[in-house]
Amino acid sequence: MKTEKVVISFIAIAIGLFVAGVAFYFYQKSKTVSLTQTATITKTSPTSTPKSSLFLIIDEPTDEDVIDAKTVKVSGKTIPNATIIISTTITQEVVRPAKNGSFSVTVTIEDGQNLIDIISIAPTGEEIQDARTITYSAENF
Amino acid sequence: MKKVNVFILFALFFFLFTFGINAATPTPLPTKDLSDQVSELKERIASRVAQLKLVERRSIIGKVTDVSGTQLTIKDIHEKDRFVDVDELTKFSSPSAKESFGISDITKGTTIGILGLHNKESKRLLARFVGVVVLPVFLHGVVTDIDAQNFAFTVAGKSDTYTIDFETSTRSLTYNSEEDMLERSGFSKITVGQRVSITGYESKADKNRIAASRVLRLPDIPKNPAIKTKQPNVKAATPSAKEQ
Repeated sequence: MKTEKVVISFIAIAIGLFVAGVAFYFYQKSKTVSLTQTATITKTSPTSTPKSSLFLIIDEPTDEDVIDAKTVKVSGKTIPNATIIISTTITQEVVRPAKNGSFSVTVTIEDGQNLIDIISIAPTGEEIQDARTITYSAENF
Repeated sequence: MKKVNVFILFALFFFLFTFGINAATPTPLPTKDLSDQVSELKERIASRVAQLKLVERRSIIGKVTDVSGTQLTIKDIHEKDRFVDVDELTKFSSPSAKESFGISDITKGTTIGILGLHNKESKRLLARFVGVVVLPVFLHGVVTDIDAQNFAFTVAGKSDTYTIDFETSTRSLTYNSEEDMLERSGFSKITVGQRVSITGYESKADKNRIAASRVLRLPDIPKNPAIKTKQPNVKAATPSAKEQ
């Protein structure tokens, strides 16, 4: 008797769900959307900007380094046919990278804090710039 | 009673044999103290090494954005916000200060250089030396105008246009790309449309005026295509009445 009740209740729930589903389907289908409510979406592809192959990686010196020598080695990598300008307040060096794009140059710095400006210029004129803060200090702290 | 006797016998047996046992080699008495000292020293070294690894000497340059109590907030040259702590050991300096200079004299917008101990975990810098600095300007652009009378010329950079004052102390060089060398140059060699690299200092009165300490001409390298320069005025091709 108990099992019968359970089976019947399950069947009743299933029938109820089915009826509700059918009713919801017909309700949604009967819905009409007016033209004023519709909007046309036009998908526009973004204008592609040519990607530059120019890059500049500075291996040395580490930014914000405190050193006890007045010369700093600046080394890194860029595109092989670039022109690199390394500037400090007291000196300016123009270097050409090796065939693999690597470059290395030693620059002189002043007492205290120094800004080292590094710029790589492609033959097209495009440029990429980076800077390093290097401090010469003999103080112990 | 028998059980008691057996127990006593066992107890005596153990006592007799155990009292007679000695270490093969006599252990020196001060060993315990020495090992303690060694372990203590090891701990000290370990903590010092950890401290040294956690803290490193660093120096930053930036513009002050906030000053509060013993903390300075600055925007560094890479436009990052940096937090600096100041304590009783921090020394302050300013080239323009005639009297004592301290944290209370530092105002928003001042460019300062800080030398201190950087904590890798907290990313904060404990300042040991704080000084007001004047940063050089490195400008890379193209010459758009020349004022020969005033020994000045205009350079268009990526973001703005600057007037460059060519002073008597200005060092002028030209990069010869064919021979890959720098040659001595002068103001008269500068022409409109040329690519130049300027090192100098911003004028206090005009932010768009630079007193050049060095001018590097790069005539063989084209200008940056990102720099938009005004086209020079081209006269109409129609012949004038005079010419007719």
